[in-house]
Amino acid sequence: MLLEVNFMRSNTARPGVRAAFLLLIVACATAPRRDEQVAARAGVLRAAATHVAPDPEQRAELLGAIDAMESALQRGLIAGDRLNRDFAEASSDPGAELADLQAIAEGLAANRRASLRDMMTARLALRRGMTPAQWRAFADQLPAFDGDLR
Amino acid sequence: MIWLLLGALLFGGGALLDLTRPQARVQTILREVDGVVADPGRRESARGTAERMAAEAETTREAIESFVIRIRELDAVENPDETAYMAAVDAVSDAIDASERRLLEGRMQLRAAVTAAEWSELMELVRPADG
Repeated sequence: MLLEVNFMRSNTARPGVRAAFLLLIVACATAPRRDEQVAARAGVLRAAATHVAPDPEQRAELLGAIDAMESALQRGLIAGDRLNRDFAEASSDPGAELADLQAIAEGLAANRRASLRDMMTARLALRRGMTPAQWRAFADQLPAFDGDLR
Repeated sequence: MIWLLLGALLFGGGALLDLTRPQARVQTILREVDGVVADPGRRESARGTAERMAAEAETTREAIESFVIRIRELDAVENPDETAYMAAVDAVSDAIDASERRLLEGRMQLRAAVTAAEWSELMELVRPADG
């Protein structure tokens, strides 16, 4: 999420920067404990939301949206890991049929789409819970992942 | 968070052989296929399939890149339209789903091009340490 807001603020996305960005996606995703990584990043978001929303009622709304984002991601990861294991097991059979593997792959795809939609809904709620000035301040609270994108 | 989700769902999954990390695993096959497949004819066939899979894996990367750019465009709008965001989500999901189906077909073609022993060896090479 740190990457997201800073990339979002960039007016230009040069190919080299985009490539570096995608490499960072891979680097992040291959961390050994993704659930901890997600929790840590959600914590940074919560701190930023708390900083920009002094009003308790608004702050609670924003923190709820961040909770929903985190939950969507964690649910997606848990279900995805289970499906991944199913696929690995089926795939290890040299005689595995395409249809059987496709069925598992479709489950993975459905999980990915649902998780992304749920998280996008929560993300929109987060944004709509802030004024434009707060949204910008929120982004400013998050450390840059790449100075070129500032 | 979006990028983390996409990254985790696409590139994570330590146990999966070739769906969640298509680029890295196809590149491993490309790198190793010449040493694993003994017969020149089968080797050529396997390499050709692996090269097509590598190109296909690249389309996944491009779909994500387009998605990133599209979300950035939508974020710049004063009053964001949820429909537009969801359309972007569906577009990237459709693109990735289609690419994964083609990768899976490629996987089956690759399997058909090599012997059982060669296949086992290739799968061991692409299997992650934690898988």
